[in-house]
Amino acid sequence: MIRKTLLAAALALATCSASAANITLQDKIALQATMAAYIESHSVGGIVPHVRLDTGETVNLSPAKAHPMILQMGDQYVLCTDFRDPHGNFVNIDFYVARRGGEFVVFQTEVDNRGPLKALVQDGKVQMLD
Amino acid sequence: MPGIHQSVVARFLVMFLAVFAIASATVMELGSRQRIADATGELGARIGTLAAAVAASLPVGTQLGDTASFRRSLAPLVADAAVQCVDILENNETLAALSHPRRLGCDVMNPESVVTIALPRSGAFLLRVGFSAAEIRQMRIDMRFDILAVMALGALISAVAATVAFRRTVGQPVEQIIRAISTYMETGENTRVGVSSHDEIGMLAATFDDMQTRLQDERRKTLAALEQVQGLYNCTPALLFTMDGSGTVLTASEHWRAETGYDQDEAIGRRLDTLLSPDSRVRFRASILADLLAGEAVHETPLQIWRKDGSEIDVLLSAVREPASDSAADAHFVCVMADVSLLRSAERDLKALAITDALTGLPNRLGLNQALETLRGHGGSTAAAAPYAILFIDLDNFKPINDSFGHPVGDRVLLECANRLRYTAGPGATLARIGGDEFAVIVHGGDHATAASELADRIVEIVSRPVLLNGEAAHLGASIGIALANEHRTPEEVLRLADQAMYEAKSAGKSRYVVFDDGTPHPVNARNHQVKVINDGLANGWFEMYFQPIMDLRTLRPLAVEALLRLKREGAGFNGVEEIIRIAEESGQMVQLGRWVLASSIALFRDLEAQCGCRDLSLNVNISSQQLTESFVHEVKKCLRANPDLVGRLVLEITETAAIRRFDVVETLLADMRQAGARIAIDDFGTGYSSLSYIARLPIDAIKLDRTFVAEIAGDGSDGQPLGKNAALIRSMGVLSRELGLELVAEGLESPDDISAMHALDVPRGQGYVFTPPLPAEAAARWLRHATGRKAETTGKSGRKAAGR
Repeated sequence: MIRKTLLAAALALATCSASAANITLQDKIALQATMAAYIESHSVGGIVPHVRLDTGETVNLSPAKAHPMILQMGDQYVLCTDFRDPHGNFVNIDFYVARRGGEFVVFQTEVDNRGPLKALVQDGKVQMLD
Repeated sequence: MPGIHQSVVARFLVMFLAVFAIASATVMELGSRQRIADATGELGARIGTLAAAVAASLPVGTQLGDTASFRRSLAPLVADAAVQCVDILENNETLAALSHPRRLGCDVMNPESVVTIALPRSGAFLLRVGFSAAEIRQMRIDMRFDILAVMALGALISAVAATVAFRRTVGQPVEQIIRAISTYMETGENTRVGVSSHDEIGMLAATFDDMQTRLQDERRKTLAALEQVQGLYNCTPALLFTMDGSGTVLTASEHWRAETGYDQDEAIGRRLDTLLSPDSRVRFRASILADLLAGEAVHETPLQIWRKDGSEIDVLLSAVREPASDSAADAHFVCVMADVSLLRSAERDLKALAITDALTGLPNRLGLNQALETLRGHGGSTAAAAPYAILFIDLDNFKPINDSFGHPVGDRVLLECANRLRYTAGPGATLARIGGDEFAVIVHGGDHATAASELADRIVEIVSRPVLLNGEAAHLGASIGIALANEHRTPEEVLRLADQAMYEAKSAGKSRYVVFDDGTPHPVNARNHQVKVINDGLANGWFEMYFQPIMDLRTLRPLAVEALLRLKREGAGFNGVEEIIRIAEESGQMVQLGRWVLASSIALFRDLEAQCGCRDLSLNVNISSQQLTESFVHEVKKCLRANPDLVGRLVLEITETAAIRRFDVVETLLADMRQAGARIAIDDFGTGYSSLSYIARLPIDAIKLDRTFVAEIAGDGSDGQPLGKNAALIRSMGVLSRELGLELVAEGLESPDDISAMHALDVPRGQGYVFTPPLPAEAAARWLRHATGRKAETTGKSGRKAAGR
């Protein structure tokens, strides 16, 4: 009985350790640096303006916090940074990043459009990296 | 202390700790992994964001040569503990570098620990950052220690709490149950656990308590039953005991001990065969014990067991193996002995009685057979038998004495003869009474042939001595047949040959002995032949009835006819009709023969009546004493119903000896027949031993004087009257018969003088050759036809007296 219990525990641990995808810390830093450089390059005086096409309103978004979480979707990666609008409300922007040679480039951003990404996560098409 | 596998608490703890360790380790591993991932992500975000910020803040162009400015710009990046080095490359050449003091620069770092970022707005310049994941590794190490510490503390606290809880809920009730079971095992006491919880353990304890209660009840009942069985065992009036496979007594009931006289200590542990007689001991060891050990039951096997006082008990032993016995080696047997001593004693008495003649105390025929069996020898062969001779003795003249004086007197005569034979034969011979008046003596050893002849001589002599009966002397004789045993004769055959020789002695004149030898032409076969002749005669019509008239001596006219039996067979071997009657009586043929006589007489008489035209004659028929039974009375009644005109004319003649034998019975039977219409006559009166008082009491109608009275009448007296005692007796009988109202008939009249004498003596009726001998029916009819038309013709004295019956 005891032996059976111990065996079951070992199997559980092995299963847990093999549950998530992984990338190197080097890539994580490079991805985060790519996202930060992209934000820096698109900011005006530290503010990232964003035009709401449905209303024509331009909202000035200031970076608040870069999320350490990185998602992987095929060969592309998704990173996220929280911004605040002038009213202090959080607006998240997802950055879609691809590898180009020895560097990464942001090829698409989605402002306050998290729904499709969640659906892809639920469908298993997007995994979270450790 | 029980081992880990024997302690429920220990096993529970091992299980608990194992599960706890696995579960907590799994949870903490998952948690720490997430934290490591988060920390790694944050590290990456921190360095990446910082590197991007530094890259954006670097002066591009003219300031690139200002190393000091570069170093100031890069300083915030290097200030991060995870950054090992940082430098600016232009066309793969380092323009400025700043590194951790221990580091020599990014060039010497593992390429996987270096991140290169292009400076914005300046494609020729690259920012290269070398980093270290040491903080992540340290974090992992710290977390492992934390996990182990938390797990150890949690395991300790949980184990203590679980142990306390387990002991309270499970361990202690289980220990109580175990203690109760141990107490029951050791002392038989039924104790209760008394756990009041309502969980499974409480149900287990309650069930245990119920079981204890039931066990206590069952035990009480079992003890009561055992006590009852023990009481029954001791009180049962049977010799009960148990023994093991060696025959050693294990228990013995009180009744067994009381009957045998052995007390408990003397009986228990003792081998049963030491209490048995030698024969029984052998049987017990060789048969009974062997059967029991073979698994077979023993049923009522006879044994003799010695009491303590030395006396012997006859018992029947039955035994079975105890059902609880597993094997023959440790088998116990339940035994019961039935005391059959009284039965055996009674059997011995009955056996002795069966072979002993009650009157004389001598061995009877069965006893004689046993004695002969002992002569046959142990090997059972005739050749092995000791030489011996058998004397077959038949008393002469015993039957008339027995018939006349009755059985009590006959028994006295037999006893007297037995004593004489016993005295004469002596202790060396075997004497037996094998029939009514038949005895046998076995003479063995030495010159047995001579000894047998000498003994026969002495017996003939001593038996012929008179026997005094009520002051009168009765004379008997002994006819003896002797047969000698030889290797070819069985004892039964010797006895049969002696019997044959005895008949030879009878035929030779009685009161003598005849020694049978092979030259004797089967003397006794003559008697067998006679019996056969009677049988064949009845079957084949060899018998016939003759008729002799009974005349009125005054008118000389026939009054009746007497039917007389004749045998139409030459060389039949009978000496007169009397011998036919005697043989028929001895061989049991008399009833059948008498029935034929009655029926045949009536049938012929009817023809005779028709032929002679005389319808007023009576028919006299002789009957034997053996015929005097209820059955015969019915037969007579039946005949009279069938021939009603014979009522008052059918006269049944019976001898006076037959009449007084079984007087009371005969009196009743005769009265019945008279009541039915038959008349009774006493035949051959004067030859028996009857007294006049019997005559007066018997329901009879006539007396027929025996021919000897007539034959011995002396010559004429001076006045022409008959003289002599017989004449006086006849005269007296005439007076007596008239006084009693009886008819008087004189038999054996053979001459006119006889008729005259009877006439003178006032005898009214008579019959005899003076008128006619017995005639066949047709001749008798002719004679009667003539006789009824004239007076009797005298035929002269024939001298033939053997008219027969």
